[in-house]
Amino acid sequence: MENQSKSVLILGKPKSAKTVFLAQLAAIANKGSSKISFWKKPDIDAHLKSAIERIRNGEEPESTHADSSFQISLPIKYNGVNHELRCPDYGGEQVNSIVKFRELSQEWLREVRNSNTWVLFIRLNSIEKNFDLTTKNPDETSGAPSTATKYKMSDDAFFVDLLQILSYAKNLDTTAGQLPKVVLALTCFDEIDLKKETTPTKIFNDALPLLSQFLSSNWIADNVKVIGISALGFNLVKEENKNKYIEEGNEKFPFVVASNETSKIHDLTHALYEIMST
Amino acid sequence: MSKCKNTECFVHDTGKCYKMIDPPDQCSEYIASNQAEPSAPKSKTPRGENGNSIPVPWDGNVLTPENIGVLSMSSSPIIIGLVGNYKAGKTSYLATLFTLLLNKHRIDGFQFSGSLTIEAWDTLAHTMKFNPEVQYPEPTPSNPDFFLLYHLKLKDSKFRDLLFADASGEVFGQWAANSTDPNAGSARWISRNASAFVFFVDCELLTKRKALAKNELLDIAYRLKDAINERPIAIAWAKGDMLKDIPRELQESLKSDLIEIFPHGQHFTISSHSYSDADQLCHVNNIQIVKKLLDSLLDAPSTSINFQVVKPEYQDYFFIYGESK
Repeated sequence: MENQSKSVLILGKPKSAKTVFLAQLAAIANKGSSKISFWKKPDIDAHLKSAIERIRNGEEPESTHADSSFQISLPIKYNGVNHELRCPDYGGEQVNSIVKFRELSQEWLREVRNSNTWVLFIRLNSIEKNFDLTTKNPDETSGAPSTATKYKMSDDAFFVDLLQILSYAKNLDTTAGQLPKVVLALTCFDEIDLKKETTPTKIFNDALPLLSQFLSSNWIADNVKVIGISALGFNLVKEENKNKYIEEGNEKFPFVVASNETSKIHDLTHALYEIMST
Repeated sequence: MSKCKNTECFVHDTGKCYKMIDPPDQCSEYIASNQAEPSAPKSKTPRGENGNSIPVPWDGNVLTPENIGVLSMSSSPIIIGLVGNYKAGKTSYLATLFTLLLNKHRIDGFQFSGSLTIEAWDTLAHTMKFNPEVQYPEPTPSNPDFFLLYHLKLKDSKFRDLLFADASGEVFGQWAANSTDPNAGSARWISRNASAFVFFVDCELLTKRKALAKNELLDIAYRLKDAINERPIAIAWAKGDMLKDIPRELQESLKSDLIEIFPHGQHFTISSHSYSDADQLCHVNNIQIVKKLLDSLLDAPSTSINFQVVKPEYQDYFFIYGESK
């Protein structure tokens, strides 16, 4: 059967769990479901091998070095067809740099142009929310930070600008239908306080309204999807959590939540299914 | 002495970059002291591959007449001219507008679709945060030919490019006194080229300087009246939480004068402060200004505005255009 090559560009700031996600996927490659599975064991490089070893020992992988980039090819079978899903992994600082310095290296340009799906890894828990004049009575004094924080671009503005830059680089008009598909992966989903009836789509629209409208204006609805991913299931800071990994295995705990659902699917390959089926 | 390549930037005087880049030495036009010419920007390539990178043609900061071409090639923008005296609340209005959009408020019927000046907007919004106190935006620099353009792309049935033109308050006073004042270039540009206007009434100043403030305001209003023709205008009673402190007669006489001067104008009381989750002055009226101006513009017979680059009137590019039906 001819292998099809599809390239997925995962875009995320530092500490948005890109490497963890890829490492966990590579580590559980013998799993899968009827919807999506691996047709062979993936070949991994030293970077991911080290990440997998750490995870199996209940430790978070080291952050990918700012200047590094790696390639991984995930051999997945979807809809009866064998694919080679190319996922570059790189230091998240590079994404920050693209927006800050307004330049794309030749290597990035190639990745952007060759990819047909962009997956944005967004860690909502790291989004700062200070009160501003529209959300707090000016006469109240409580709730403000005690010292001034330096300006940092809001995540909403950041991701809109990133997509504007990448779309420009893809050298396409922003006519719906010609842009890559976009999957918004809300990572470290275990950190979110999930209330009843709150789906990844609703959480995203609430947290990042500008990005949500930007995508809705410039992309066909069918080409955009929001999912929740927890590549570890919970944080590995607590000793008891580390031990769970060592005693019960790392593959048991990750989960995915589909766009308009609230339930957890304890199969990380489901994230790949969601990406492939966008 | 450090300075800027751009003669319209007074960083050597004010310490502030005209593009609002902070710190100023990060601006590509900045010349540090003892430097004859600015050196080429250091390679900032994310992966440092032989410095062989593709630059992005817009930097997310405010547009100026010099670089407006990056937008005008693709569309006919709707220019909203903000008119008002020094510290009347023009820039604070923009900061509040973007803050509201970040907080899920929407212009009814329109979706946010992008911005070439998103970092400028975001920086403005940051000044409205409790950090721990609210900074408020810096006063807009008062260079005669210089004003800031904030780009907002919206979508209803099609894409609409909005440009909010924000000049310093001082130039409007100069323009009001003498419409040909060489220091009032930016006021003239706005009065000629805006598709619609927001005229700012500073309620706080009216409470403090009473008839003096009223008359300074009316000077500008009368000058604008000569230029406006039928273009839509919103009269924004800014710092509207102080409206009640303006002596009643003064307020009524001013309102009646403004209705006479701008009979087609719509009045709004606005504020950057919110006292509840559904504050009319803050959460509703700021956005309603844009909504109502767009409604007026888009209902009108279509006019397209074509940009032409012509020989600069001043040292920088100065875009003029003609209207065509």
